[in-house]
Amino acid sequence: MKILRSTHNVLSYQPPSAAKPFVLQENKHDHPGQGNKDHKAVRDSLRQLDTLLRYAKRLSAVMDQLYKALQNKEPEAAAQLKFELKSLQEQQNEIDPILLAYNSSQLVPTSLIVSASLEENHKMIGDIYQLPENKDIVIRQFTIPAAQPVKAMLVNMDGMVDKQTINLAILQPLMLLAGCKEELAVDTLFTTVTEFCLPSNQVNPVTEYADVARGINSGDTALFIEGTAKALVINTKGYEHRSVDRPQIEQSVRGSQVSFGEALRTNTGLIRTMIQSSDLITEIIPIGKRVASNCAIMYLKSIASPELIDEVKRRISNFSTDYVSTNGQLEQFIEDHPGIPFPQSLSTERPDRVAPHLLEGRVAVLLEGASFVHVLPVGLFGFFHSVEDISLGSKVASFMRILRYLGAFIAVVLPSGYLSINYFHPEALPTEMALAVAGAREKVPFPAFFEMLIMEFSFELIREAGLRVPGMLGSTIGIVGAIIVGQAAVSANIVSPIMVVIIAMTGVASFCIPDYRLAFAFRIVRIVLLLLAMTMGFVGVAYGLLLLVVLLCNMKSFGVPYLAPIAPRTIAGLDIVIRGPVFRQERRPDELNPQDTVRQPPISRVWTKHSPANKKDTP
Amino acid sequence: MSYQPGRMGIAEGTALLAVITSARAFLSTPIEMLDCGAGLAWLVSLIATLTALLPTYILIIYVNKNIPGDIVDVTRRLLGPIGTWVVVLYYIAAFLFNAASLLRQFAESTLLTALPFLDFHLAIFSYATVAALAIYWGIEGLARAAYATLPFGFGAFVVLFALLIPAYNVHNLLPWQGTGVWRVIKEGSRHAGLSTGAIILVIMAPMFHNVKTLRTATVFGMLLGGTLRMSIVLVFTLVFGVQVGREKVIPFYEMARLVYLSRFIQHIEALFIIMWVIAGVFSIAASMYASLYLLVRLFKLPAMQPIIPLVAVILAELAQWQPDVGSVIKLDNQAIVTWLNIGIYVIPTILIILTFWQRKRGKISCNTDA
Repeated sequence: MKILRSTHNVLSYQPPSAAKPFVLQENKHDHPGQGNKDHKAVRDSLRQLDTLLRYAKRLSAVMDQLYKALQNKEPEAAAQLKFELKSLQEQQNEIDPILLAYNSSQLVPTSLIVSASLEENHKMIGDIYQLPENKDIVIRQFTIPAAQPVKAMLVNMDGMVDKQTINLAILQPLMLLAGCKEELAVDTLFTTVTEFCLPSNQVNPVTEYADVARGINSGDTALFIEGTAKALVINTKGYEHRSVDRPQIEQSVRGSQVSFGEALRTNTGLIRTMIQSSDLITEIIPIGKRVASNCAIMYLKSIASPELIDEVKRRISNFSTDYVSTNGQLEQFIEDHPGIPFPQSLSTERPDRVAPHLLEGRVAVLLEGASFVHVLPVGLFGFFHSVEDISLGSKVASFMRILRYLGAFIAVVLPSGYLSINYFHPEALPTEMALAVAGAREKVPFPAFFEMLIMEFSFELIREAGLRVPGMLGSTIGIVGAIIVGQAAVSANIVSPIMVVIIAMTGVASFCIPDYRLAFAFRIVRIVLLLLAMTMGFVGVAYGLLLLVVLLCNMKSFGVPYLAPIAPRTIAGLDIVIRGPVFRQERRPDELNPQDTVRQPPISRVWTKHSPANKKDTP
Repeated sequence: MSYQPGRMGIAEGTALLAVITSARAFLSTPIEMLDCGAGLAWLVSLIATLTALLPTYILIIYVNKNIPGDIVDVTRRLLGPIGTWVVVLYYIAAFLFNAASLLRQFAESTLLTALPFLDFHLAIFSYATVAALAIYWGIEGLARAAYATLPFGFGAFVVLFALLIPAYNVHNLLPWQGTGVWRVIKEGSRHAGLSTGAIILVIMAPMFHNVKTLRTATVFGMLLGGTLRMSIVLVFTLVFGVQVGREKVIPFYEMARLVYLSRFIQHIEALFIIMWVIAGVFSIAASMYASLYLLVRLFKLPAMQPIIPLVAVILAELAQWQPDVGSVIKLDNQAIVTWLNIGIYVIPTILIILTFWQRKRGKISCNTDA
């Protein structure tokens, strides 16, 4: 029977009965009927507005007449207007629902102003936050126990606020504190609540829903009071965020061990702990049209060029997008050459790296939710600086820098140089070496360029895999991949040992470049040079290098030439290519046009000019 | 306009002038110097530099100081519209010739030394394309790039000259008076056309901060380029001597080939290819820019970028006009001693005399701002 049933099932196949699968439909705006619906809504809205305007004109005319009658002391004329006023009052009752409907029909409720009616405010909050679907919004209605009890309402976002602060610093004083009871008169209610009843450290009165929504979205609590056409936005931020941690990317042996987190205010505070000065300015600019994020710019008022500050603010305030989630996105919106892969602002996770730059006259740009801070403007040489340089002595720091430049040079030129020599200029190698290379390549069936492409591709794969695989496994994959795959490729005669050496050296050298984005840009340059070397040898490499230098010379970072102070030549300090002793760094970078160019006097170690107090070292 | 005045300083001007006036040292010019001066070939090169510098210097300190603006403004003021057309068209032709000649010679050198199997047309068009790309963003970037790479070029020269020390033979400079001091001076003066680029800064005068910057950049640039050229001629003579040297085709390459210190430091000529290719592209691009600038100014064009590809193609075609490299070198040498000298001696002298005359007649008041 079972066999028969199975045979029957196979022969007379019926698809299993299941619910209709979900298919995302096309946008309804494409449907022809939708346009009519929209038009109808607009027509309704216009009709309501027309009614409201007619009423307003009529009211204005009657008020004018009444004013004139009262001014001319004509009681008869004023009495005649009584009927008119009564009629207006009746119309007012009819108008109220129209006004409500018109307000509700507005596409952007946040553009409206706060109502004196608590019920109206409740409705508007519901509209703005799509209640009751949106479960994050908490609305707490309560009564302030004044001589004449006043209704009030608290609105906040669950998960973004500190509940203890709301309970102890808002609800408790307003609901329980007896001292306020006698003094809460309706006309002074708002001021009294602000000044006497709320022990919160930051209370801002606002009149527009846009400000209310901005406050609630950032973790504040909005307080509405019946009869007051204002709301109080009270600081109750208490969302969870990563605590101040050790730097993960820019580690240092001798520098500070603090890195930025995701909370904007914590980050500004970290910079402020490094520069404890009233001269340090923090400006907040909201960016993003649909979902606004706070962006902070920090600078030292007496040092940074006002023109530079204005330009940074102009660029940040003048781009239009829905939402900016990362610093990388923000950078692309505001940088001079978004089409060029070279970084145009310094991205750092270390407050102790931001602080010296601010003191040189640069500007820091911070974004809510981003744990990296942009410092701008910055030139190419700045990307070879490391935070370690500041902590180490000038000789050691200079040595490290030269090593980095050498690393960058090797990372860019070594593969193309090898390919050029291999293809076009073998005479440049000593005979023994040329024979060794030829011997090693003898069994490899591919041309050197293909060999190099295979190795480059493998290296990139291993690097990317190492980044994506979490934790310790990432580095293990890197090591295993590099050793085993490299060895296997050589044994299988797919690549020559010399090629493994070249690519490994290039890879290691590229890790000497402190900035990740710069290393990436150099990687692209390396591939372009490889192609040029393959086609034209050293001539192609020369073309590539020349165009690279011309390109870099033409680049600007926020109006400052990218290769300054070398091209164009400006007054250079002792912290560009090499790092001089700190007491010799008397001037701030000239290309930044700082307001105060002098950092310290020519003889900053004044003590060398004085004798010791007890004169013990005199012979 | 696509060019913004007053953005270049002494460093940019010096570098630009140095690369444009020294580029021929990488080609067969040292051999021409040897022909003219024998043991005193280096002096021919030095005199050629100084004789080109003198009128340019007077032009700057006298004419540019009194009449603001570039060469077009100056000639319009002194010579009127027809005179302006004649002078500017001459300089356009001179710079185009200079660029085309350099382009052909560098392309031929590339084929001879580095890429023997490369197609000739590809070599020409690759140089023209890279030069066009280099000037696409403007002369500032090019001049700054020249300044940024100049130290590396000098470093390479110093290293090469040092590595050649074992091959130096002071007797190769004999006879000390070469072909005769008077003849050397005469030949040096005749070869002022080697520094055709000397006038380039005057052409673009408004791009410099002021006349003082222009003057200093011209002096430094000419002396730097001249010194470089003279050093190559001197070392070439020291290494090969007059007779052997005259048989060579590309002296700089031959010098680099001669290096042998040990098994590991030998045949380093390939490494110097990068240097002379860069120098060649810089000089071609600078000459090309000068002609483009004058075209834009003369025809009052709103921007330079759209005509860059056009001029690059014309340049490449011009460079291929002559049938072989021998004809190109011959034509180049003839032009240097004849009509390229007009731009060095005749036009600046006319402009200086006219300025003097007009000042005397009170038509030009002294520009104290300069």
